Amino acid sequence: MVNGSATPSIEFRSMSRLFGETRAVDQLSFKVYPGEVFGFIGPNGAGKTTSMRILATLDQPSRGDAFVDGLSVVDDPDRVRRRLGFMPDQFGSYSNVTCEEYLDFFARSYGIKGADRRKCLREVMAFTQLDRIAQKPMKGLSKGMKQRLCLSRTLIHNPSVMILDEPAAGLDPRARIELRDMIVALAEMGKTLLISSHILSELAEVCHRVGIIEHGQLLAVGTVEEILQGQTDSSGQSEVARRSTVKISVVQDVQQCVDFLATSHNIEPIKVTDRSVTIPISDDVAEQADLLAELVHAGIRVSSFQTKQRSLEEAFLHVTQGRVQ
Amino acid sequence: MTNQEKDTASSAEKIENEVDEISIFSAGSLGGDTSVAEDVDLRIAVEKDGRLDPFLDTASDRFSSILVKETRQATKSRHFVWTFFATIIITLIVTFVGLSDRASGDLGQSLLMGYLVALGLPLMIIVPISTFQSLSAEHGDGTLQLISITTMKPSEIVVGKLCSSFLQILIYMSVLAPCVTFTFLLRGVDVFQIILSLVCAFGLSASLCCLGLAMGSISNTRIISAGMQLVFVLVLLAFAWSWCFMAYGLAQEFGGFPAEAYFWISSWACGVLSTALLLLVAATAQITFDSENRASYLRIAMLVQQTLFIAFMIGITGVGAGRTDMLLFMLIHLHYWLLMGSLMTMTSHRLSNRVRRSMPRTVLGRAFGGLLIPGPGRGFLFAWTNGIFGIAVVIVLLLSTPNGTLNLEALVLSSFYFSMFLSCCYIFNQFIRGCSPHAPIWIGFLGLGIVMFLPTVFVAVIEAFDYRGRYFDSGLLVYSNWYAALGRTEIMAGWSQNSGRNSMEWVGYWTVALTAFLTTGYALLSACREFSVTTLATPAHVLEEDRDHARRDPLGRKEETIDDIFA
Repeated sequence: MVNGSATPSIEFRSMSRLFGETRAVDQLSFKVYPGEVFGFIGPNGAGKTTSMRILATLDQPSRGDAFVDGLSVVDDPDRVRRRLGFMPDQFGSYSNVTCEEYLDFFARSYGIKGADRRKCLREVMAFTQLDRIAQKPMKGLSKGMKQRLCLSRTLIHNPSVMILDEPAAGLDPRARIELRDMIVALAEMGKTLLISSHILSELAEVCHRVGIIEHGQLLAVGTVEEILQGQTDSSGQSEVARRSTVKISVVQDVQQCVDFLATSHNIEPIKVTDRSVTIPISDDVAEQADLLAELVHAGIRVSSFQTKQRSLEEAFLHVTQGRVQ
Repeated sequence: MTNQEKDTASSAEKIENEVDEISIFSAGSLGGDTSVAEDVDLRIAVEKDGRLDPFLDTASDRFSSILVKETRQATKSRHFVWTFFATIIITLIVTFVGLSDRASGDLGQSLLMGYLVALGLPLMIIVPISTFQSLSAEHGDGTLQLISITTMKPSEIVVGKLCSSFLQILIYMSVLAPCVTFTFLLRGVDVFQIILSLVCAFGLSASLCCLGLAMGSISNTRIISAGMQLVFVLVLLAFAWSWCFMAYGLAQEFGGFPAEAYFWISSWACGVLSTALLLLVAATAQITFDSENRASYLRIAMLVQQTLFIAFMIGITGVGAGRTDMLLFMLIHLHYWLLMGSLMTMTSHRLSNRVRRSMPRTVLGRAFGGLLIPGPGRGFLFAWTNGIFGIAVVIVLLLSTPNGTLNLEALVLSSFYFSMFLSCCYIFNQFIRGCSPHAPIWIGFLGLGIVMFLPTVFVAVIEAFDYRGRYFDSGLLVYSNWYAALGRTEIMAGWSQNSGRNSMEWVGYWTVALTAFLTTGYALLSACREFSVTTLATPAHVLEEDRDHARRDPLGRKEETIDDIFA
């Protein structure tokens, strides 16, 4: 799937994009390898769409360059377009055109002719389950159907690299799950995908690696695990050992529990609520069991002991918190 | 097994084989439920249902995808249906009214004029507007970016839309075809007249469509689009109004035009069509990716106009145009190159690697293609060379025709002004580009306005307050105004040759000449620096990619170089 020695399918090389005085993208550099699903996350206005538009040969970088399969998006945009599929966040529709005619038009635009085109249309519509509404006019399609149609258009020339900008935005849970399944299926076919989304839990499920961008600067890149490992707490101490949290509920005096944790284990920070405390803890299950045993042994009546792993959302919040002003 | 069953089985086998050969999606298809059996059933069903649709589907592969899409959209749209029926109704009304008015002598002429006026609605208004909207709506709906990232060339997009408009024009014309043919059977109309009328209607409508495409290509925001649409509608109304008079003129000219009229009609047609070509190329350039070569074809379109202008000037010496007419056309020619030059000198001097790869390598390409390469300096040289060449040709032409229509002084003075203004515009635009690298190209007009028209306005103001004629009549100030200076040469040429020139006038002439030499010399030296840019070799992996693509798609689109233009 991911091959570090191969030519990257996508590469940003010190790429910047300036709009007047505003730096929409600032010295962006990272690589995505063939067959990889890469999540591109960041708050609104972080520079995700700008980067993706440049990669899709819709815009030019002010400095640096971006490459698709080793081909420059600035110098060889026509060659890049042959192997790239771009699904923008806005759906462009035509009046008086059915879904099939829409896809047929784009297939023709990519130079696919005759029987090839018809087969292409059939396969793509079957994959995105649009075959039942093939003869329906585009205007009036639901958001979910429009996204399917947009994905079909992106797939019509069988690109090896796909860029999906906010593909799940505005979809209901069912449509979102179906879209996620399609993305997984595409990844299994060996396509390289660069996906931006605000729904981080879904990205974490389908992406091999993620990049976090804010104010045009790339703050972190790697697997979710690597990003979590790369975090440090306020004292500069690595949080590798304690990236989960545990919520301990007690029957009687919560202060006794707090004192025990603070004095015997030097744990901080300790968040105290009514009859429970929340503390950071290692992912090591044995260590968690030992702590529970010690609490019970110390006479603290524990009513519940719930561990929770830190997620991509927390990593995102932590990484993007005031790092760039 | 019956014969029909055998045919079906054979057809199924054939299609199955065909499906096996096609492999759109490589290893691991998209995973949809697309079994061969289903495909076969579908195809057989299509064959049974009818032969027209599959035939059209296959035939449409030969046409641009944009043409197919636009035609589908246009013929299904409400405005097409309404316009179609409105044209039929108007045609019927014209027929009934024309036939009821039997008092008029030449019934054929009246009816032909009525039909031509009826054609004005769809051809001069509806089709150009829908052409404009087809491109501006692509901007507004965000579909242009989706088309832009396909492998289709920008020229295919623009030409596809234009061809769709041609098709609509032909459909509307076909509505009137039986009626127009009917006029031939009546008195006062000949075949030539009918053909000329229809060709004029088609040509004018097609040119307006080109204008619509050019205006639509720059309508990239809602506000600009609304403004452009308003301006375009006004332009179309003006043309539709003019068309009514043209229709009258065309319908009345039974038995042919006077000999000179053919020259003026063909000149007018060449001017309109070459301008339409320029607009079409400009629309294409507008939607072309920034790093591509957007200048060469624009400059070729300008060269076409330059060639036509020279042919026109040769022609008007034959029809005996007056001195003032010659000077007027010469001024139009120089102003054309000033306007084009002002835009060309505003382009960025940075050549993308893409353009550097396409620079000419052949002897022919290097000899003639150097000025077709993008860049402000080359643009300046291109405009200046063409302007001066035009004047030189006209001077040679006039000297060789002994009809006494030459005002050499005015032509030489005009060439000085042209050089001076164009050079100043180039220098000024380079200064602006240096201050603001991302300034839009149309700012170049501003540069021209400042260097050329401000002095003119300044002189006009001075003149307005110069009651005693102290400055304007005898001072040097008049020489800052091109038109005033030319006016003076015309007056002087009209006077007796013995009156001579006063010293102030000679100082004025020499001042203009010296300023022109200095500014043009500086601009030429500055522009020549652009020739130091070298050609860039195409990287090996890109060539390999091209070879690989050519193997898969022998008829596929290839990168164009300037050498290809001369090939």
